[in-house]
Formats: sequence, structure tokens, C-alpha cells
Amino acid sequence: MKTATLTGRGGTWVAAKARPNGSATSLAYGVIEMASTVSRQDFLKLTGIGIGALAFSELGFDLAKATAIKRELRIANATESRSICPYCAVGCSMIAYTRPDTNGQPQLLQIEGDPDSPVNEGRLCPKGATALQLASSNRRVEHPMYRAPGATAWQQLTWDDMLDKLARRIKDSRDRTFVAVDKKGNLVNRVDGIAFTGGATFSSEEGYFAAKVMRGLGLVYLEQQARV
Amino acid sequence: MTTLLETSKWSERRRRSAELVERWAFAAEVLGFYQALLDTQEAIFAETRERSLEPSQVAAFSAEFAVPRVIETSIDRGPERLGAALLERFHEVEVDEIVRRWLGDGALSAVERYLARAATGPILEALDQNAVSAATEGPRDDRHCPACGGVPQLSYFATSAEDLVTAHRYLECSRCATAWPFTRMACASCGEEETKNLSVFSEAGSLEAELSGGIVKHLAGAGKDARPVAQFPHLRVDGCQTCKHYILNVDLSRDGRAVPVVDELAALPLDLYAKELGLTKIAPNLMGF
Ligand code: SF4
Ligand SMILES: [Zn+2]
Ligand SMILES: [Zn+2]
Repeated sequence: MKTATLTGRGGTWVAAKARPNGSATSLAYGVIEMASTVSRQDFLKLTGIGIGALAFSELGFDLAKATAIKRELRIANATESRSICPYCAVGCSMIAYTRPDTNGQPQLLQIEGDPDSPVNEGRLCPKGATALQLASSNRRVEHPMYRAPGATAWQQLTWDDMLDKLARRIKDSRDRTFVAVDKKGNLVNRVDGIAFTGGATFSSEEGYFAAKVMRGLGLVYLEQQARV
Repeated sequence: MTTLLETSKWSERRRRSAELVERWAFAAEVLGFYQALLDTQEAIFAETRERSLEPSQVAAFSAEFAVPRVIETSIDRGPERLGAALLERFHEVEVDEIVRRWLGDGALSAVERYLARAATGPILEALDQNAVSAATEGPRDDRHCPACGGVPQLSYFATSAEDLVTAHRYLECSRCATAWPFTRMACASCGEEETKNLSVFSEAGSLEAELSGGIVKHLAGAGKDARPVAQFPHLRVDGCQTCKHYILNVDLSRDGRAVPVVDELAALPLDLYAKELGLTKIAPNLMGF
């Protein structure tokens, strides 16, 4: 009887070539001794008995080393999804890769241009190429930050404080620069002292809302980066 | 010009095999044998070019010229089991018929497939597309080789000239090594396009966020030193839950020195992994994996 020792996660086993069930033709690895820390299923996986994998391939290659490496691999099922770059009106097509994190939540780990798209044929501009960071950058500023006039350091504010500050400034600037009647005597009711710029990641709804609010205040200098 | 390019194909395969033997000890046996076989295959390729073969002569030429050379190399340098099986096979069955079945659609045993492919593959590679077409049978659609109708051996992402351009995906034929463009997100076996049925099994450490280290918030092990290191950053298993097939994909933008056919042969742990998931490769490769 030929025996072999197998070492793997959780212990060492001794396996032996034996003829099971009295069969004279089929050779199989039979278990003589098994460490108690490992379930039978694990053992079968390790030795490859359960799933029909063999120590040698069909053509006779030794698979022991490759099997050992396979056991160490940390592989996860990534999902590819098609998406569209939110940054501008070109509307480049993207492939987004997500993989479950340790809690099983999908985690976005890669975005690239979709080579099959007739719009961009795999290409992204430098801005679109950084779209991953829009979703999950660890450099994202998560609190309102304030730097007082003349100050060199930033200071963290609460949302309430920041909103109060903004409302105050908008009100003051609007009061100071409001033009009810222009030089020719036309009734215009406009604010010349504030301008508004919408960012590229604005959704359509946010853009619509912002335009309404700003026009309501009398702003005429409204700009919005063109987008899809 | 063509001849120069085509000849360098063999030296490229040789170069990559030598590189991977150094890097991946687990593939040393397979690649060591493949290196020996490459010399034989290149000789077959060169002889085919010399003879300006007619399509109808392929099987006979393979049986007379190529097969004996492949058998010799295989017995000499291949695994014992293969050598023993080849010795038997050579006396047993009409080799010509095995090659014909390989060029057609017939089913072959693992050893027969190996023999026919190792010997006849380089012949097809040496012929022009019309000749290959005339010598072979098989469907001609986007999931089959446009030249010979064979099924794809592997999939690869080409390199692109610019950093911000993602290049096309190609499939490479398991019979004649012709490559053709294919949709990035579709199963190369059944054509499934629903991405929830298309599983991409990639190693931790192989995606952009992990490779660049710590851009992504809450990424496990993020940060330059702690980030997971992938052993196969340029390889992945593209599986399909609909037809339960898989194909290995080589991303040349991740490793510009990779030669898809060689890397695919050497990626044994990924094949073992896929098998464990219950997936079958669309076509077993030259070495039967
Ligand atoms: S921002 Fe760049 S990548 Fe995004 S849609 Fe516009 S051109 Fe395309
Ligand atoms: Zn082909
Ligand atoms: Zn499929």
C-alpha cells in the first residue's frame, strides 16, 4: 500500500492508495487518518476526492503545486455593469466593476470606458476617468469646511452653522446689490452681486431646482456645466 | 513582412514561457514541456510554408509529417502518462482519421485531441485564411473563429495606445489561433448578455482601486503597504451562469509582456478554481486544461 502525507490548512493527514469496495480495477485515495479540526468536506476538498479532481491531470501533469496555489487565491465574483459618465453631455459609456466587500455590500472598484460603445469607443476624458472617485474617494470632504477671511486654516462647521452662514451672506449680498429699476427706468428686479455655477455631477432634478431658486432670488448670472 | 511577423510569434511564445517558468513554479512542468513542443511546432509551421499545401492535403501532411514529430517530442519531454498513451494510440488508430475529426466537428478523447491539435495547429497557423477556411468545418458566427469556425480558447483585452482608452476584447481560436473582436460583456459560449448571469472571478488586488492603492473609501487593506497583492493581476475567469462555461481572459493592458496563449496555458490554479465552481472551459487548451 502506497501512502502519502498531505499538509494543508488545519492539519496533516495521511492518505493511502487502496482498493475500495474490493474493486480490483479502480484505484482511489482512501483516508486512513483525519485531523479532527477539519470537516470531512474540507478534507475532501483538500484532497480533491469529493469533486473528482485528481493529483494528476488527464494528460498526466502533476497538479499538486497548482492546487496549493489555488487554495491560497482570494477570488471574488466581480460584476460588470454598463453606466454613463455623469460629467458632461458627451455621455460616454462606462463599464463599472463592483465586488462585494467583507459585509457583502457591493463595492465599486473600477470604472473604465466601454470599448463597445459607439459614443466613446472605450475612451474617457481625464475627468470621466476619475469617475470612480466621485462614488467612493477616501479624500471626499464629508463635513462643511470654513476658512475665515484672512485665515490660513480650515475649520469644520456643522451643517446648521454653514447653512446659517450661507443664508446670511446671500441675504446681505442680495440686499446690497439688488437692482429694482435699471438706468433706463425699466423694472428689472435683479441681483447683480451673486453668480451661481452648477457642477457637472448635478442631476437634472438638482439643476432644475437650483435654477428655480436662483431665478427666484433674482440672479441672472447662472451657469451650469452642460451634462446629459 | 508577414513572414517576419509570423516567425516572431514563435519566439514570443518562447520568451513568455521562459518568463513564466521563472515566475510560476506551479506551471514549470506544463511550460517546460510546452517549450520543447514549441520547437517542434515551429518546425512544422516552417515546413508547411515551404510546401505551399493545398487545404485537402492538411490531414495527410499532419499525419505523415507533424504527428510523428509531436509524438517523439511528447514521449521525450512530456508527462509519462501522455507518452504511454501516445505510444499505444499511434499503433492503434488511423492518425489521419483523428486529424480529420479534429478539423471537422468530431469528438475526440483528451489524448487524441492533444495529438491532433499539437500537430495540426501550427499547420493551420501557417496557411492563409482561405486555405484554413477550406480545410475546416464549423459555424461562422461571432462566437466562432471567422477563419476556421473553431471555438475560442481564450479571451484577451488588447493594449491601447493611450492610457484613457480601454481597448477591445478579442477571442482567440482554439484551432487556428486567429483572433477576432468580441463584445466585452457577453458570454463567448452562449452569447448571454445579461450581466447578472456573467460572473467575473478576479483575484483580490486586481482591480483599479486596489492596484492604485487606497483611493477608495473603506477598501479592505487599502493603503499602499497593506493592499492585497494579486498573483494574477492580468488574468480572470469569465464565467457564465446560463451555460456554465468559462473562458480565461488575459488583460494585456495590465501586463504588456503577456502572450495570451502562453499565459492561458500556465494559469492552472485559475482553471482548478473554475472547475471547483462547476464551470467547464469552452475549449480545453493544448495541455488539456
Ligand atoms: S466628462 Fe469626459 S468621460 Fe464624461 S461624458 Fe464628458 S467627455 Fe465623456
Ligand atoms: Zn480558427
Ligand atoms: Zn454562456
